[in-house]
Amino acid sequence: MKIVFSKFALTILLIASASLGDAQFGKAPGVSVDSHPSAPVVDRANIISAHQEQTLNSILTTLWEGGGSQIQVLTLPSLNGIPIAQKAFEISERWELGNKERDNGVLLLVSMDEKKIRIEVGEGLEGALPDGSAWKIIEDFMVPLFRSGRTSSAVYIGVHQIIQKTDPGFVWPDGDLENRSQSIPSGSSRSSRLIMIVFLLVFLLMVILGPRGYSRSGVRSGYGGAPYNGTYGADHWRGGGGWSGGGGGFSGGGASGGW
Amino acid sequence: MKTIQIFAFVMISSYLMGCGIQSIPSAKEDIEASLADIMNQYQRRADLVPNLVNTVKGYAAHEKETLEGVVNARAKATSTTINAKDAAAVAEFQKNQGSLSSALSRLMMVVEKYPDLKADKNFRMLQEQLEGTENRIAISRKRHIATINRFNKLVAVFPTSLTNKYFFKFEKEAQWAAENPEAIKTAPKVEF
Repeated sequence: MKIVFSKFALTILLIASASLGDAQFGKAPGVSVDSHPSAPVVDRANIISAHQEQTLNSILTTLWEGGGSQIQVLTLPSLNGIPIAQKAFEISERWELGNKERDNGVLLLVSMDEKKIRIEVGEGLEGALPDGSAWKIIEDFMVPLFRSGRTSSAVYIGVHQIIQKTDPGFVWPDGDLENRSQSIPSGSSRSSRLIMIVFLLVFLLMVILGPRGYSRSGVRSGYGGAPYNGTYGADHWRGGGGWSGGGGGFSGGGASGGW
Repeated sequence: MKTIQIFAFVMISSYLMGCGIQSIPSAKEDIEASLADIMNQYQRRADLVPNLVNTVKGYAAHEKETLEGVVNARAKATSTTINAKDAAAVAEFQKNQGSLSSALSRLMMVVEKYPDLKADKNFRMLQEQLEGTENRIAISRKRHIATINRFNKLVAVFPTSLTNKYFFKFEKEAQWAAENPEAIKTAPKVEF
């Protein structure tokens, strides 16, 4: 009889323990976020140009598959009442951004209704991209562009600035330097423009003569020509290039801003 | 027949008793770790205060009462360290941190009166960093509460409760409140 009782108790416990795993993913009314990102750039608010979206998709994939950080872009029409820090954190965890061992995920979240931006930084990148630096990227680069309505450039330059911190060895593809130079918010004075040109030339020289950096596979015009009919399923975007992914840790690092 | 029954009973009992041998002490370690993390996040917030106070002083030097309130609250909050075993010390620590939260809220209210200060870039960056630490504290607290929950469930729920009863004899851990009750109670007055 004792045996029967033990087995019975065990069965009950097993059933009970199945219900213990309750993960809450911000089930706010009205905002449904997929259980995994369909691509590195998810532009729900439709503020990024098709060309720049393609470019960013290929750059971010190359970065991740080459062993770099996993940077995710998400634009939303609205947060529907949820604070942006909360939303960014929940999405970063749910989408399992970054590698489990290295905690190297980043989420760039933009919400148009509230005019808010947030860069959520994974634990492993908090040294490279501390809160203050994330704030400066938003404040100095993205906000002025959002204010002047250049939403696509704002996101584009934001990603570029983020990578400069998180993956300084990564080489941004040449073809888009033109975009980049136009997007840099310049002071109105002539001298600052001159300085910018000088830096640009130096940068070009470094790109031409410098080290190869990460693998450039896929970042060529032929590749950029074909659209991603990408279903980047969670496994592909997460696990591409042999990384186990599995999701890095986030502990609230990063910064928010708005325009 | 009887020996088989006894054998089966022993097998099942030892299986059930085996549950928790690893998970209970592991869960206890997790509590220590998440507590240490909370302390880090609170310290991070405290570290911002001197800079913040100085920046505000540059624009609103005669808001002495509010500024001193923040400085004192910070001193009090950083002077208490906590030992997870001591429930009273934990409560005291939370209360002091809550007081610092209130003092900071009052400071932010005062800042509303000074548009130049509000527009100051340095101040805005500090303000954002402060909100960042509050965000981190909130996340850290949630995680800590989760580790305590996990441990308490292991200690209280069958079959790991058996293992605890006969082997470890751990008590349930005191739980942390999700919100900061002190901060909510003392809502700052808005004077314009």
